Amino acid sequence: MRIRGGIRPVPVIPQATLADIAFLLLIFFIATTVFDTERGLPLVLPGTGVPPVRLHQDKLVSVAADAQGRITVDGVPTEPGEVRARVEARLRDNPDLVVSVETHPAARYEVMVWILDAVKLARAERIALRPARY
Amino acid sequence: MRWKRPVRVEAWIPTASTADIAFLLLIFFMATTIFRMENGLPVTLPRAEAGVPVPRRLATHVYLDARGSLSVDDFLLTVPELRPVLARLLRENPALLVGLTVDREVPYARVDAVIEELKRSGARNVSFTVQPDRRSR
Repeated sequence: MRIRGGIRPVPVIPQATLADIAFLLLIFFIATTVFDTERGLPLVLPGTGVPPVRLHQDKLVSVAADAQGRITVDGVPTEPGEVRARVEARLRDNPDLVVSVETHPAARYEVMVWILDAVKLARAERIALRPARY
Repeated sequence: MRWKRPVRVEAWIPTASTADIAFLLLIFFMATTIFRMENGLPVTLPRAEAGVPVPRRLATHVYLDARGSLSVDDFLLTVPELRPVLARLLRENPALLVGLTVDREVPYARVDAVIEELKRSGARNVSFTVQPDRRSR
C-alpha cells in the first residue's frame, strides 16, 4: 500500500478581520468626535485711559431695554424682531451713527444679547454698551 | 510536440492595504480630536444669529451662572478678584480674547459689573458666547 503525501497547508495569519477592527474604531471616533465650534458676539471695549465721549442725540441710535425686557428704539416701543429693521433704517440714513445699547440693571442678560444680536445683524460698527439709567 | 497546459491565475482583490488606509484615517482623527478640559459652570446660553466662531485656543472664559457664581479657568472667584486674574492672563497674552459665558437669566447688573472689571483689567477683546440660532425671532 502506498501512502500518499498530504498537502501541506501554507501557514498564514488571517488579516481579514484587522480591517473590520480598524473600521469599527474609525466609525467610533467619527461618531464621537465633536469639533469645538463656540460662537460669540465680539465687541471691542474702550481702553481705561479713554475719556467718555459726549455725543449729540442726532448722532446716536438709542436701543433701550427696561427691567421687564421691553425694548424701545429712540423711545419708540419695539418688538425684539423689529429692532434690526429699525436700526438698519437709521443706519441707512447715516452710517456713522453710534448705536447705544442701554439695558436696565434688573433686565435679563438675554435681552441685552437679543439687542446686540439685532444691532450686529444690522451691520452697526460703532456700538456702546451701558446700563440704562431710569 | 507536446503543448503545456496554461497555468490558471486565480483572480483576487488585494485587501491588505485596506487596513493601512483605515489606520491612517484613525490616526488622523485621534490626532486632531481635542477633548474639552474646561468644565466651567452650567449655563443656559442666550440664542443669537450673528454669532461668529471664536477660536478657543485664544480665549479665556468667564462663566457667570444663574445662581450668581463666577468662575475663570475653573476657579470660583468674586467680581473684585477678577481684575488681578485677568491682568495676569493679559500680561501673558496681550491679545487675549475674553469669552463671557453668561446664563441668559442673570440680571444685567451682574454682567455690567464684570464688563467694568474687564475694562479696568485692560481687556479689550470680548466675546459674548451665544448659542447659534437660525430662526428669526
